[in-house]
Amino acid sequence: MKDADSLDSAEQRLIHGLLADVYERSGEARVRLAMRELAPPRPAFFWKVAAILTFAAGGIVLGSFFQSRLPEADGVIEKASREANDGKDRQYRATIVALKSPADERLASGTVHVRSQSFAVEFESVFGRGWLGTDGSTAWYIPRQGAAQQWPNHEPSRWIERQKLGGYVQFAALLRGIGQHYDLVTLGREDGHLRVRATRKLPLSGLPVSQLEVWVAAGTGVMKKLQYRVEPEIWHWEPWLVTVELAGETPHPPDFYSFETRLRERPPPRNP
Amino acid sequence: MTKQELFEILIRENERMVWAFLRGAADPADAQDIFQQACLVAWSSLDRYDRSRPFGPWLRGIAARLLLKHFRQRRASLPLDEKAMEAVEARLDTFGRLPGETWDAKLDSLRECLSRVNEEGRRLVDLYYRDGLSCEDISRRLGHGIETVKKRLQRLRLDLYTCLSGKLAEAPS
Repeated sequence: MKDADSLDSAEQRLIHGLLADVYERSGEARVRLAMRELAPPRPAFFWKVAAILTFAAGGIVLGSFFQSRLPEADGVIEKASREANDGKDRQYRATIVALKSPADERLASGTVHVRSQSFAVEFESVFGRGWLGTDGSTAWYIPRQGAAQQWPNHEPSRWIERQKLGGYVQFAALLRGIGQHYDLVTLGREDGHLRVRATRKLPLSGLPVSQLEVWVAAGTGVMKKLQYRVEPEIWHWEPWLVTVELAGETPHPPDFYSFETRLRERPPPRNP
Repeated sequence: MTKQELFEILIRENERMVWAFLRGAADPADAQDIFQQACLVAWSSLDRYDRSRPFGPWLRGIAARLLLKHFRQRRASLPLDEKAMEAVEARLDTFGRLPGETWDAKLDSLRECLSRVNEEGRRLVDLYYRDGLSCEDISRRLGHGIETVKKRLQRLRLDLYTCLSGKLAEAPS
């Protein structure tokens, strides 16, 4: 019986591990991290010279040394993903700008309210005004005027129709899965934030977003800013630049993200 | 080519197989720690590596010992005992004999089995493995009990194993 149990467990573990491997991000970061640990220690005189130079240069050398020791982008994103899934309410200001000549055009702006897997976007755009969101199981669309709609969260085609932000609003899910499709690199530190760039992997040229940049608070791991470019598609000829910036962390009532709540709070239609 | 560059090539060739093994027993954070430790131990004991044997199983053996040590140190219950671990290793070896130049090519067999899973099963796999949701999150989202979700996932893995074992049986020994 014991053997049978073990065998069963082994089969489960094997498939579990293989599925995890299929779905989890590339091992490139894993290998780089491991290889970095193997790097031979620098000779002691290097440190002496470095110390003298540091002293002589009034800290400039030391500063740049620490600057160069940036954390691995995967670790930064993993932490940001965990924080994005911490159940707290956060509000982000979002804008979508069409990059065109002679001047860029603001297409939409709004506030993205997020709590882990739930979000509600209050938008004002050339497509209309209203709310778009999900409470995690039901997705919904509530225009300022007109018929509101709701549907099960797992119907992606409905999302694509409605979600002009291109599926990049569920920050926790976005950050968790980003390494699968994008190569990550930490670019540097800016005002206490770590700036990470995600560049679309070559075989995935079909994805509409070729590059994303994420700014993550170095201490807390909270995503402060996200910016990405949506490549031209058949229904928009110019590339779009989407910018999302943290505006606050005001707690909302538990049912804030539900279809019923948002519908109830929709302002009455204006009289003609 | 330096010794370290050669070592890196060997690690790159085998890291996904070792990762699949570690993830079968540990969460991503623990698997990452153990993977790194295994690379360090392998590097420091490279002189003892028998070059007539394949590198992958040797590295995985190191990872297996570290995995056991890790759970013992934490006094956590072992997710699988030594015998089960050997059984997983044996199956991974067989899996490694599937056609395909790279590990990813070998995983095509699993992808093919996945393509035969019904829509409900695929949704479950997507939520759990792709989106990283817990059984609790999935149960809330789908309106099923946690135990139901766990059992369905278990059943699904078993079905995938059955599908895969057909291919494994055909793999050259």
